[in-house]
Amino acid sequence: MNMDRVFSLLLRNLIWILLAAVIVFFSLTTSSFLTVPNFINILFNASVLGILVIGQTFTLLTGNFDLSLESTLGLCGLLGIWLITAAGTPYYGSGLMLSVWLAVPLLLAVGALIGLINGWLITAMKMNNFVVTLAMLIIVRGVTLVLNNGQTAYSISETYNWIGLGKIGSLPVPVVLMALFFLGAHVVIAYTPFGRELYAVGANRNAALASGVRPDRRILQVYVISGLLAAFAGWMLSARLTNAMSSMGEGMIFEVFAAAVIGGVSLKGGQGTVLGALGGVLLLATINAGLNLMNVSVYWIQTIRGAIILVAMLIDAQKIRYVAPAVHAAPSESQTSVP
Amino acid sequence: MKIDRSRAIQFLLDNLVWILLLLTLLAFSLLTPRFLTVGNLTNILVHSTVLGIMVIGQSFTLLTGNFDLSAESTLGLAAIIGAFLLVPAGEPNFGAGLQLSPLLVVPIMFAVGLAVGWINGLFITRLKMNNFIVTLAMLIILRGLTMVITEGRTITGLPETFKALGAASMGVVPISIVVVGLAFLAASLVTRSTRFGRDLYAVGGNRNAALASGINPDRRIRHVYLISGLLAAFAGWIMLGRLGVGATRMGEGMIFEIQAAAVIGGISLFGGRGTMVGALGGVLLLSTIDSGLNLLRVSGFAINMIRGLIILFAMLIDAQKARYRAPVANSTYVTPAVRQTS
Repeated sequence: MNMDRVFSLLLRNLIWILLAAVIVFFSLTTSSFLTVPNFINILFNASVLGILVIGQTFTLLTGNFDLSLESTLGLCGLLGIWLITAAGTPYYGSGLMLSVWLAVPLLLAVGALIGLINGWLITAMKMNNFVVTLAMLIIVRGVTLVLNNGQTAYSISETYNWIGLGKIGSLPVPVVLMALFFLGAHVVIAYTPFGRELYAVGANRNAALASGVRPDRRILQVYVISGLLAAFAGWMLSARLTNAMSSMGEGMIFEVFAAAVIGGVSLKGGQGTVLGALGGVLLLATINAGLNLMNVSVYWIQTIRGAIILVAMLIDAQKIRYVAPAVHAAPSESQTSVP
Repeated sequence: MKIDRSRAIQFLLDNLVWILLLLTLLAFSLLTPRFLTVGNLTNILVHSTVLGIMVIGQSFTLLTGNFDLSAESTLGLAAIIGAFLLVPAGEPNFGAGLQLSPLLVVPIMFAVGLAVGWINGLFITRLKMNNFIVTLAMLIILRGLTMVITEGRTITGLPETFKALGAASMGVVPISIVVVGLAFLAASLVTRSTRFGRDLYAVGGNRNAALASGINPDRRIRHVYLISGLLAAFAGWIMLGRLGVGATRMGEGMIFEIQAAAVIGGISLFGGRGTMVGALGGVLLLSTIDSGLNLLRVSGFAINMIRGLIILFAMLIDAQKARYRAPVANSTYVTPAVRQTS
């Protein structure tokens, strides 16, 4: 009885065990891994992904995808720099030279607007969330290309760049902000009626509807949150790089999904926690850092990272099998299998 | 009288993609005289070939309610392995130095595609993993392997016989068009008129019902992943012929276009609905739009955006269609697009 409890506790915190195992492994294999600067570096590199994963977690909890996140990040990051810099060589901005204090609210508003359009098409026009955000991924990337004719824009504004390069004490600003965002999201999702309603919508839409929750309204809201967070992440990334290419963020959506799902957020909705998602983000970032320190060839890193994601998910799939054999047995092949 | 009218509406809705395609053809013909020429229409078809093969593969998996996100990386890996084995080592070809015969290389490429499909199917059915996640991880892993092989370099100097599939013509008709046309014909026959095809619809439509009626869903799912992997390798071969070189990023980002074409063509992401002929319509629509916008000298950057808008518009109409047809079943439209296979 007690053993079972321990086992179930371990399974529920699988992501943290995996993370600990990875940290132990890298600490033993490379001498420079277990240092404070390296850990700060890992967190620094995790920050943009982390904020995107928070947004994705909100939508996933309601049983919806937001594929467009990576493009929203790209557009809003470029927009921020574009609005505040001079036209032509060497900075390639719009020449509008807006104040940072105006540009940032604008880029955030654009992110929220993209989320609003996503949410509106999905709830009011009854479109499939996968298809809507897939089209939006393509459209928003197209807008990004058109905006600056494919040209990279450069930011020399220290105010704008502070969010990516500044420090609070000895901690980089992105690390502090990521921590605050995760804390905020955790509180909202775990302790507010709003958070509970997201689980209800994702787990059983009709039951949620029957119990007085308005699913469509909640779905619209999570898309706005997700767009807003993606815009913020775009500001942070472009500030950190001090430039924005029109391809910024491209392909990142795959990593966002991987982190959320490894962290235990279900693609079917209604399951998972923000802290678990944080674990997923940290795991991916730790692996990247460790492989770099081990001097693994850059050509191999991607393969190894993919393999680790696969193994983590494999373990996770076996967990579901073990924890809920009754649920799983329903349409399983094993009973009727014809080899 | 009333029945007739609703039937007509039904017919139009069922063939929406073809109506959109006709309208697009008409619009571009009016806008630019260079559009409606044999040369340009042939060109549109040639540009549809790689996407077309990929969409056939994806449609097979989608019919059973499964995604194959890894298809674009399978294309890249099979193509690069093929190119690598064909050409000499070092500058300027960057091959393995084996210089194998195309007669040996093509089967090897197919084997690579089949192996990927086999692994996908194994993880999804035997190890009970989510199809979205498995193929997502595969997408990353296979692209990584491609990078390991090329180390970021472009492989050049492919033999002419090997490139013929993607580059040569029989008289005035490019070989690839004929081959892809036949592939669509075959896929349509298999899905419509064979037991295997009906099984796929059954598995995607209602897994438990399929199981109860004696179908082995997991086995069918393994089959469609093998088909998808094989077709992706085949598409890689066509693409190598067309490009003439092997590049690390071949196929990258294509998965979005593949899904879009399939869905516009009426293939449901939930499984069990759609036809290969519809999927062909989706492919042709996307290629026609690309070509028309190119001829109108629309900037390459804007084409991306317009294409996305058209996909969105087509899907908007499609969603209203579903609403019109089955207002009750419609609530499923906000549930997640991913079905677990277990």
